[in-house]
Amino acid sequence: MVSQAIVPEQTRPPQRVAYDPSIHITDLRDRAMHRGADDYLGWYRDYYYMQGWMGHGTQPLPMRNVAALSNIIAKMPVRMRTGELIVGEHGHDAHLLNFRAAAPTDILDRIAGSNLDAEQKQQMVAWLQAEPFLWQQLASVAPMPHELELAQEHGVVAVWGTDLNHSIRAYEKVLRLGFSGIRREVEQALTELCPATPDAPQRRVNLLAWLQLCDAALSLGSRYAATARQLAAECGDPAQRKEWQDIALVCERVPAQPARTFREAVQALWFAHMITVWEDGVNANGLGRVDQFLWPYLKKDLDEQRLTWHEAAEILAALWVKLYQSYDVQQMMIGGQQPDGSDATNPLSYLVLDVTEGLGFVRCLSARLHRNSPKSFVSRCVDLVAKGGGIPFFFNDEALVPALVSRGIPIEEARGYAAIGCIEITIPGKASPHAVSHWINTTKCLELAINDGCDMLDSTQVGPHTGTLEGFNSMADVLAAYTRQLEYFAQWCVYGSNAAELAHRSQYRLPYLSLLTEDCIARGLDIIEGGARYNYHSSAAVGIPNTADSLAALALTAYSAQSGDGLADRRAILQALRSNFVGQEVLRLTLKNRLPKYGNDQPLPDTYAGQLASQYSELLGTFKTISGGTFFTHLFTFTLMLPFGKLTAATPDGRRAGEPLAYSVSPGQGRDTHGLTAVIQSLSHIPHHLMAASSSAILEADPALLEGSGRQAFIDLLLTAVNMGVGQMQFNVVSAEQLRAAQTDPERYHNLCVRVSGFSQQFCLLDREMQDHIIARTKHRQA
Amino acid sequence: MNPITATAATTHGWIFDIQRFCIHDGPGIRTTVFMKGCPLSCLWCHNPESRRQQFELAFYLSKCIHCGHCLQVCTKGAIRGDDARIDRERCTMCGRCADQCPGEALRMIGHKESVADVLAVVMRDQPFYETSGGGVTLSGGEPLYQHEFTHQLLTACKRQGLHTAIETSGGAAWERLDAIRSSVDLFLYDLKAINPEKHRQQCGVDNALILANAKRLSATGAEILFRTPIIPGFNDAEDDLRLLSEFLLQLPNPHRLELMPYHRIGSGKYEALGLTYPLPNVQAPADMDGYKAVLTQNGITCL
Repeated sequence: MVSQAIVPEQTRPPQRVAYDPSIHITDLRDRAMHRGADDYLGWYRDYYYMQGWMGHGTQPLPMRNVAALSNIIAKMPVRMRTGELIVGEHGHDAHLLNFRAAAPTDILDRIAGSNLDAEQKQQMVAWLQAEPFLWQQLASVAPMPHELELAQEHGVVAVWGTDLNHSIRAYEKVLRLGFSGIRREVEQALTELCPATPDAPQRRVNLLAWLQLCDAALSLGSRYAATARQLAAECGDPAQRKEWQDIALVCERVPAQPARTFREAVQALWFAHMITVWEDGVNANGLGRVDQFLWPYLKKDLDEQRLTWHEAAEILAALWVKLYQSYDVQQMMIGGQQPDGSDATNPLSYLVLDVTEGLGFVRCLSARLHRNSPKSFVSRCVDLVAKGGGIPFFFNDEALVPALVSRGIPIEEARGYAAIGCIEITIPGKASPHAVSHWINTTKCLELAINDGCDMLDSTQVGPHTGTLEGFNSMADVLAAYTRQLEYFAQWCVYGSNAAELAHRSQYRLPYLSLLTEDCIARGLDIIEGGARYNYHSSAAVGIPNTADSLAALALTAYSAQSGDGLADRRAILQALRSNFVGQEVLRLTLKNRLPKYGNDQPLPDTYAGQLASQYSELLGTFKTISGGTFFTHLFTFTLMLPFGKLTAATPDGRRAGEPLAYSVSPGQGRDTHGLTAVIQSLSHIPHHLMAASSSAILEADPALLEGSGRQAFIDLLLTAVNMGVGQMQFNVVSAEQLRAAQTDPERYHNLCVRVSGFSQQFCLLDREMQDHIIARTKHRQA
Repeated sequence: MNPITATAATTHGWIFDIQRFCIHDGPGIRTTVFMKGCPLSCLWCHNPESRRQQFELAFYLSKCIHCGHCLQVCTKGAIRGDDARIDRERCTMCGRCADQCPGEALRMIGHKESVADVLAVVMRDQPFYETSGGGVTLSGGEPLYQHEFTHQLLTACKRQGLHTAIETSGGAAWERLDAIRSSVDLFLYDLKAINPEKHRQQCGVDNALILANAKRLSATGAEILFRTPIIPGFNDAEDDLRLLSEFLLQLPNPHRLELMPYHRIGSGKYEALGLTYPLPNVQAPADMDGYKAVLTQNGITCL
């Protein structure tokens, strides 16, 4: 950007000084981290939602949803604490009900134990019994197909059909226009709506409902302002009185009107996010690219000398504390590219890192890197990684922008991506991503492929008949059978995702998400009705590292030149897998230890991993969703490597039945023994540039690596991985606890290396005394 | 095949490990090639498998699953039932047992590799060298022990544009050092003890050649980082540090010194190789700052 060439003195990032939270912020932080029962508001949200929903039973669905949400906005208790810079609480806690998911079985007990008063409790129970509760209407639109049921029971697939409140809203719009401006946009759409438009009735009801929601949102700030005014009036301490008055001024302005200052912008963002949590019930919605949409406000304040860097840090820290109150996966993204491809990092990107470091609690934070990311920015990110909390996560524009483009997102928009909850990416405020709509266990597909579609664990016929390993004369036969299984289950996953989307349409609307997602207002359609600019589902493949290692193992044993016709080997392997290697430990260890594994820069397994990922992504790209979109692919397991692993029989890579599968596209646990450069080389064989929903990898690093000269090497390692196109990376700085676990279970931690100047060794090969020493060292370092 | 000369493909060297992502032996991200064979026999050696130019058989009891394969395949009767497992008198290092060991409890250490093969492994991490200004480090053992192979490998690496470093004790004929000079960007030169008597006792050889080579190498203007392991009770007396400082100060050019604290990580390897660890009672130095302070006071730039 040309404008960046001349930066006024006060706008430049300050000389690097660590953020040192004030006593106010420290108090608020401690309170957020150690909350008592009185600090929760959770059940009020559920109560007022129900009250609004039940009171409008005869109204159309969009209006009923708006009534429920508006009732919360209007009635949630307003609480403020001295010392707060940013006010408001959504009251989310572990008990918040997700009205769109299945009802908890112990719902009545939960209500009995809630913080509602006796009358409210009675009322809640009465509502539950008066008519089928909202979530009880969430029957699927069609009977569950037997095939899909079987596939889910046997851990081949998991269909979540993720609904849309796992997304990122256009919060910048609330800052820029206020809800009054958004209301004008809705009004205009209503004015321009031609009654003869075929879907005019559908649009009109949405637009009318959204007007009501805007009115409710407009009032949120004034409720807080009124309370602040009252507190100011009652306050004897002039300093504190001034603080209440300042809060009142901010809340009288936002979120109703456009924000003018950084503080107003952050307060507007928090109010807007509170309404998200009230609508959602899951609280897995990212904030988006905070450094991008908040920076203009901060820059203006700094330019006009209204704010110091420390004051800005305090405001940001106050937001962090608010987000921490309900710790869930609410990602925020910093860094990355501008729409024109130039670097987007700005001074606020650094401040976000400073504040996160200064507050000292771990929360979701992600950084986008690209070839031209400033080295100083990467270096600051690595400072935080060295703290050992695993943040920030790194996302690579070099891979993920082309991936989004490959699925039809225009490049300027693709460059605006951000992470939603864990590592799922989307285009903030413009998409309906149905993130992690379904999961496919590729390793189980291979098990079924070589066992005639039959589950090795319980002999149930789960997939199509594709023959058994004994009958396959070549690797081509194995791969053909695998492909048939994969296609079969992918088709059922597509069915499941589309069935879920169809069900959502009949069950509820998400008016608030729609208000803050382009082009819902212009189209007059709720996000659930396909109002978003980009409609898609994301599909995740699980177990690719294990599947690749298994294919490599088969190729190098049963189908190697030394194996003759290979029949004896194929029989032996199949038999061993079916019996979970019982009495076959020598074969198992041979398969596990003596053959190349993904994660070690070995051509065979790496090539298979790349091929499996390409095949999967290309296959899913051929399917359509009910909204006319397609499936964006993920190489991501979330935590499903454990349950899927439990349901997957022994595999040709030497993994026993029930053992976990690899995390996402990280090497199987303990299998990478050639250092981080080799892991990255293996990762670079994966076509990350096709994974429009993001890939993921966790890499383990010795804490000593991030000290002294190693720190620069780590930065260079990261930048090289970016150049090589690795999609997404998280670094796990190995802890003393892990080392202790490695002492008791060396096989699992086979790969763990420890370093002393100029010398490194596999941890499991050290004698006990030395292991203890290094554990003590690590513990000391992390203390 | 890479553009490598025919000799590079045919000259073989004894290697015992190639470690990728090394960050302490030269600038940037490096690959270190560990070569077998060393004229010295330092008591504190942390790579006992590096000394002899021949195969070694290591046995890690903790990884043994007692499957008995090794017993079946050994034709020399060299596998025993006890915890040491190997009768090293009888063993001919044929490697059959290690080849059959599914748990990797038995491992053959050492293999002959061509310059071309080693270079191919080294070049795998070229993208990382480019970003970090790293490259290759030859270590050991003593790389100059196999001077022809070392020379060719360094030349081949230079031809690929890599930064090259060599870790050496300097215990080789000057001609060998002189021959590789133009292909080495950084010498990591070990000075274990300046006192000749101590050096003979602790490292098994006289140090006259080592010290003379250091002077000559310094005079050429070569980039040298001297390194001294600090072994408590052996070479860390005040007198040792004084002699070390005097030696460094009288070199033709100024050079930095890196102190390496003694550590016991190699002790497990002695057991695996059926050897006795020579320094059972020496502990790692508790603090390096004192040594550094003395050397700095003497006028040495100490890392």
